[in-house]
Amino acid sequence: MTDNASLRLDKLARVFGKVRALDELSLEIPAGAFVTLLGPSGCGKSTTLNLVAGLDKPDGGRVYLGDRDITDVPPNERRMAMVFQNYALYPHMTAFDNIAFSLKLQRRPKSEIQTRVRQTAEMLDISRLLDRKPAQLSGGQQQRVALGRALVKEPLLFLLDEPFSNLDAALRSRMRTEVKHLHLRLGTTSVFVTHDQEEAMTLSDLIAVMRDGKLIQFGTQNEIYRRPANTYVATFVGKPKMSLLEGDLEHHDGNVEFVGSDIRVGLGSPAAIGLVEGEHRRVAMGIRAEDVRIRLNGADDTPRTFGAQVGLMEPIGSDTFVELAVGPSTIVARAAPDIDVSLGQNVRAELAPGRVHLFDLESGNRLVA
Amino acid sequence: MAVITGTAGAVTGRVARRLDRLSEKQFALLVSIPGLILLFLIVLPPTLAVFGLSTFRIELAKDDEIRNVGLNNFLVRLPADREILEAIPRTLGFAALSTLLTLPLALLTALVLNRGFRGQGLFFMVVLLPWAIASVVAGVFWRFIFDTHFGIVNGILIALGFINEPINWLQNTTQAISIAIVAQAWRSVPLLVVLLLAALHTIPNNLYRAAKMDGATAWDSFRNITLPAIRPTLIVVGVLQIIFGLQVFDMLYTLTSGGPGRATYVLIYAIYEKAFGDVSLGYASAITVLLFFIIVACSMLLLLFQLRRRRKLEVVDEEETELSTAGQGVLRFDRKTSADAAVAALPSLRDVPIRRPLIRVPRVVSKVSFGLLVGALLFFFVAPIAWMVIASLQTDEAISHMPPQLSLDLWTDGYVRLAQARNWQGSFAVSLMTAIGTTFFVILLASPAAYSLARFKLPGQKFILGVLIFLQMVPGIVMAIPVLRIFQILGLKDTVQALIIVNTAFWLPLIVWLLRNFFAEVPIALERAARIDGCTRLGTLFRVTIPAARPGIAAAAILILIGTWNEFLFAVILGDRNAVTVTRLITAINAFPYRLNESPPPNLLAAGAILAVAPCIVLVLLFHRRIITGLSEGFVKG
Repeated sequence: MTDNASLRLDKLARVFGKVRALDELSLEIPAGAFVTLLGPSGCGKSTTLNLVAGLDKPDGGRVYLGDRDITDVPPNERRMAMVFQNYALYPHMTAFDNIAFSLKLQRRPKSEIQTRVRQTAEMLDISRLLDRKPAQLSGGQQQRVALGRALVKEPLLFLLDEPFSNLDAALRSRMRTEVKHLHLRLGTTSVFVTHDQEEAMTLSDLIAVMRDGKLIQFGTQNEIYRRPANTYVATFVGKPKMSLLEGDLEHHDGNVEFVGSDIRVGLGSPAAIGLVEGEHRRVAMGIRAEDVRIRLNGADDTPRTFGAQVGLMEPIGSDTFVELAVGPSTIVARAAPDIDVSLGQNVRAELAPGRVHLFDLESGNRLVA
Repeated sequence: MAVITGTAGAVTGRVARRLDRLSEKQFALLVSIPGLILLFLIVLPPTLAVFGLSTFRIELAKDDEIRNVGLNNFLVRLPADREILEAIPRTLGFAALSTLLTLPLALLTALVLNRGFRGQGLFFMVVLLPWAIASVVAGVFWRFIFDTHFGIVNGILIALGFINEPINWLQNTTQAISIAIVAQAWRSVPLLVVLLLAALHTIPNNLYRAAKMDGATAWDSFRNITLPAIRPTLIVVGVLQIIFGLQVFDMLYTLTSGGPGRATYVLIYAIYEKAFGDVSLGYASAITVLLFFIIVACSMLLLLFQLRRRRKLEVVDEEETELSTAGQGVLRFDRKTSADAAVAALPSLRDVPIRRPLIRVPRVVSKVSFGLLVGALLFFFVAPIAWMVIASLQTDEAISHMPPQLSLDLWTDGYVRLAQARNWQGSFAVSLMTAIGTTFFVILLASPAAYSLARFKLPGQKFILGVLIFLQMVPGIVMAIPVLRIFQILGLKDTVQALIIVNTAFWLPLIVWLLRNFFAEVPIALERAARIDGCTRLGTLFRVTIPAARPGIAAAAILILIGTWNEFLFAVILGDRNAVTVTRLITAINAFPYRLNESPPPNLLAAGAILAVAPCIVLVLLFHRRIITGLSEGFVKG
């Protein structure tokens, strides 16, 4: 059996009228990886998927599957399978015929089709539904038939085009788990497209964050979350959103201080926070909620402590997110669910050491390693 | 009623407050009453009267004796009337053949439009044009093209050297029937295209993408996705087309006059001649009833089919609830299946060579052939109109020459003569008044009734809807005979008022139905929001609901305008000297040869035909999008 294939996009470009849907996108997806293209609608992620599938032709650049240049290969000869938004099951065929359709078009022998469809259906636990038409299936069952239709082809590459976006919350999380299990078992290289950062975080080995037809950052979910390449990635990934404060960096005795309106905190030595060399003054400082701690009971101040006023609180059960007003800005802090503060109360809060993100105010690019 | 004391504003305010105190049911009844009363008093009785009339002997041309003869007309007179007996299979055959041509042509055009190409908006607009041309004028068009002495078809054939002598196209039975069928298709394809296209648009594009990934060719996709998805619409549209085919009259009136011999003498033609030539109103009614039952039988087939589909869907709903509770656990895909070993024994599909199509049509070839197809369709739809426009600007000699000798020196005499003619000026006024008057009254009466039907559960709602469907199946000729009697008695015959009343009655059922669909689409939350924001019931209706449904109302208005302008049957029955519509007048020029045994003056005829359809063509050019939504909403959802 041919092994899993890697996928390489080389300077892919696609133009619709005057809009550059894809602007020289290059991306290398290792064999067997589960990769998510993440971005808001219109960022070019679906265009990318169409080009990979061969449903659309690029205006420039090449697509390689393994070592093979497949840019001009028609979609049905690419050995890929796709799971669509809203499933896209053929409404007039039974579940069996839906799964068997590609095999029939390939003129596989009847008995082989039977065997393959039966195995796929059993694996997906939909054997007793094979005679039903899509309209007679629940959403989750339709989703499984759609998966079956993709699985039965034994593809080199799985493409998933926002497959969960129309499901209700409970079903969505269940399907997420199932797709993850499926990938664990089959190990087929998969490209998943979504605008939902939570879906991307939970599913993927690697995430490609896109915007305006360009790749902004490509890395593991940990890298994306811990070291966002710019303010766009920083605020797009993670919930609640990373808090950003504008201010100046001041150097005192080999230490760096962040000075914003109504806030002054010491960040430690440039080396400790990994500040890249150079004179940076105007910056945006980013802090994630879990890196801010509200200090009650008058504990001693440290250089990283600042004063703030409690704003809205958002309890989610396991934690409570507290909005802290600092001058004109707001910092969200994660706190214990039973924290005893109230609206308008003045509190002291502390930044976790070495966990702040610094971005150039103009370009938005990350300044710390 | 409130005593009128204050200003007009205060009075309407009081009325509005009073309306707000009514229960929902009372309000619904009040709003819908005018339209429904009219429906039941003016539309229903003449329709039913034809059944009564069919049991009478009324031979006004011979004597004044009127007596009830029971079923004599059906049991004795009809079976002995060879002319009618032969007209029955002829009518059915014409309907069947024209449907067989129209349906594939419409499907092809719809598929072309669904594919999307540059300039498709323009193409769609052009395809719509034949629909806007009155049938009676369409008959003139096609007769003009196939005329023996000045027809362009003869001209081209002679120019190309295929024939030496002009062919008498319409004097040959087969040729005449074929031309009639083509002309019928030409005029009916546009509506069918709109309906089919609406069905094609409901197919999710993802299905085609999925099929492409599965390796389906264009033909595979068509057979497995497109065709099953539009099959119900195809059947509906096919039955519609058969029903239209059974009622063809206007076009044959100008195209063949029922000839040659009796070759195109269909049932409606017979009814028309018996009722308005021989004035045998009883017998004509009997034939009408016969035709009515043939149409009902066809409609029943349709209804039966739709009922069966609905039942199937209901079963599905039950199963959905039962199934959705089963199998909720998360799958881990690690289960061993009984087929594992068998699949393992098969070669991996990753290594199986992929089946390629034997020949891959080069893109250029497919692009060029698609272009040719678009061109051919465009030619079919637009050429007859274009030729009439050209001919209306050339001298008789230039047109009659074989092949025609066209000159760039435009000859506008025909238009000038018609514009100065008293009867043309009068007819334009009559047609205009009839169209605008009818549109005004239909919208005024249908809107409230449609609104109530869409929003409230009226008492007897099902009955009302049933009557609406029934009335839509009734061909215009059914109303014609009783209506003629009524207006004769009232002394309204040959007046514009009579034309407006009859046309209003004719359109009311369809428009109530159509507007009901549009009103149903206005979200009820919008009205609730308006009520909470302080609008009265009437205020809500006029400030929120009607503006929201305005596109639909506008579409309906345009449909009525065009339909009424193009109406011929009522016009020919009710008009005589004063209320002669344009559609009626054009037949006077067209009938020239039969009176004087020679061809009509071609330039004048062309100019007249173009003048007669110009207003509708302008409407289509301006509002084709509105018209398309109006047509697809009205028919597909109903």
